[in-house]
Amino acid sequence: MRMDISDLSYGYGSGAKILHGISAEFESSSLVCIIGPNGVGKSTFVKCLNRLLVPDTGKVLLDGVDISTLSRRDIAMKIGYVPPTSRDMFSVPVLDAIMIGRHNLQGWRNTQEDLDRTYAILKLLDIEDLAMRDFNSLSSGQHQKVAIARGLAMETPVLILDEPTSNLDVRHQVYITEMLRGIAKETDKLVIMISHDLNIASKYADKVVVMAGGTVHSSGPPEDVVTQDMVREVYGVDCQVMDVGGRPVVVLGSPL
Amino acid sequence: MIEDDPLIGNVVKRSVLEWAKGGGAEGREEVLERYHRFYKRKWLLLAALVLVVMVLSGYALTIGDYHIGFLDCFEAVWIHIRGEVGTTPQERLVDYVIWELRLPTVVVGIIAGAALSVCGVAMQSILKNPLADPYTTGVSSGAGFGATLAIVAGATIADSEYAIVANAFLFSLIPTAVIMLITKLRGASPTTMIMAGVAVMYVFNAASTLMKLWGDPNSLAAILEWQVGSIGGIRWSGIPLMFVATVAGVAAIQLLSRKLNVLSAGDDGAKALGIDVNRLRMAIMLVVALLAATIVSFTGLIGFVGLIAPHMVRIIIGADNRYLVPISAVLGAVILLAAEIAGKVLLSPAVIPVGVLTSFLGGPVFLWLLLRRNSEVWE
Repeated sequence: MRMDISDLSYGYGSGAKILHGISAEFESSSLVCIIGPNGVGKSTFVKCLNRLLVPDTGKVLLDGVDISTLSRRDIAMKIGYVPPTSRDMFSVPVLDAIMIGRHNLQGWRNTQEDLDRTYAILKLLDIEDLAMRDFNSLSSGQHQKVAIARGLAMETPVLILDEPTSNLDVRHQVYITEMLRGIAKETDKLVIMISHDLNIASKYADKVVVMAGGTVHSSGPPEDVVTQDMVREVYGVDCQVMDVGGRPVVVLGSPL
Repeated sequence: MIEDDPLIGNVVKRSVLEWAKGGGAEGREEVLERYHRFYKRKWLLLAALVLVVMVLSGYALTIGDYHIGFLDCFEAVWIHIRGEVGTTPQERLVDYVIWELRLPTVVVGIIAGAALSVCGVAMQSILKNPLADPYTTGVSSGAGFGATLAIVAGATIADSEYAIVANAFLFSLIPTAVIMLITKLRGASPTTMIMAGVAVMYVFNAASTLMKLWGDPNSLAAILEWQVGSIGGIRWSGIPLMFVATVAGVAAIQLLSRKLNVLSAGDDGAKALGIDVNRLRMAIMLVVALLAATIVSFTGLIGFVGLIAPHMVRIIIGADNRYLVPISAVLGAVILLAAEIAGKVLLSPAVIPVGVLTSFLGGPVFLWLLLRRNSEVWE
């Protein structure tokens, strides 16, 4: 599935614009990482992609179809979304918490297929021991994995994740990002994630989109985009960028 | 394909490939067995509670000066339903006592308990607030003002018997209308809805207090009696309306229960799953307001059931609204019937209104459940 974004603008209420005319193209079977400093509109941007926010101007096309012509449910069947935090109020087992992702795929009763598919996702994320744990009793890292699992349970051709690895230790950050890349390749999905880790984005992304000031600063393969100049200009941090196996690795210096 | 990707290590490759093929079966049976056991518990709880309602109803029918045995009560109800009441004075007396005097209270107890409890489930779910209850829509303050107006000033929209009921119903819908107007303008976030509800509640309560300052002692006693909430004085004529409202309201909330579950993914998460979150909140709020208003206008303010029955059920079976709605409904009926029975038995011949005892009995039981609960694992 192909996503074409043209001239996207958005402002909250009557306030100043957050996004200014963003255009981008994303292809299926790829992992796209969106990076950029705090408050430049990364989350706002991805929320415009599945109309959680309705952009003021611009279009999002999925395989040429303008998503503003689709119903909310139709969009939900095509674009999965994992919010940055999702804490539940009341207690349910993790298995049920994940199965909520299958809302549009299942009927009143949980079928064997629902359970099997959900269990397969638990295994994939290596959290099958949490299946009957109370969702509310989990650590923030475990919580985050359940949120990712719920996104995968939606079984959509496009999956958007807002900082999915922010609470995870190094091993799990690498595991999840590598897994998202693997899923994109193996099942021909388009996976779009926001990340703050330049090196993880550089290592795994097929495409990196750098956002600054509500617009796209630069985008393309990591080796073209993640450069010393970009980090200095966008983040205001000195750094060295080395080439490790054809991918850039950023060694951070001091703020400029 | 993943095999050709040098960036993906063997561990992740294996996991993803296994998942793409439908997932390995290792450990699945054991986990799903535990899950099925957990589900079976929900049905068992429902069945057990239905049984308790039957027993409590039978027992409630036996209470009174005129002695009628437990099974005889059921028989009397059955005979009346089949229209086979005998002609002897004895048979007619039994029929009158059971059918006219005692059964309405039991039926109202079941209806009101179920309705208030399901309203609580719905409000707690849409507002994501464990302290929400049927009255978070402002129903209680509006109904209170309406009743006060009828009792103190005699200003009513209906005559005689239903003066207070009609007033309470009409005024109880005003706070909801205000909350819905505010949310229409500001978006239906839980915080906005709760704060609007609280603001309207204070205005109405102040208005009621002002009215009470002008009331004579008789009026004040009548207001107190209404506020405490009771199910004893309601006759058959009021029941069809309560029954229809409850069946329709509970059915509507049951139908929306899957969507209520999705709200637990957060507002954005739920929207991304195709739910129109604002519309769902408004729809539930309207259903709850109409249902709670109907019940409250007949019974007065019966508190606590709508707050604790849903939590008690959640503690035992979790927060899946598909099961939470029906099981809470039955537990609500159990609590009201138990409170009604206790109210008649504890200080007999004095009667303690049900509204007082729901809190008296429900509080300690609830605390006990909170302490007992193993919060880590569902089995």
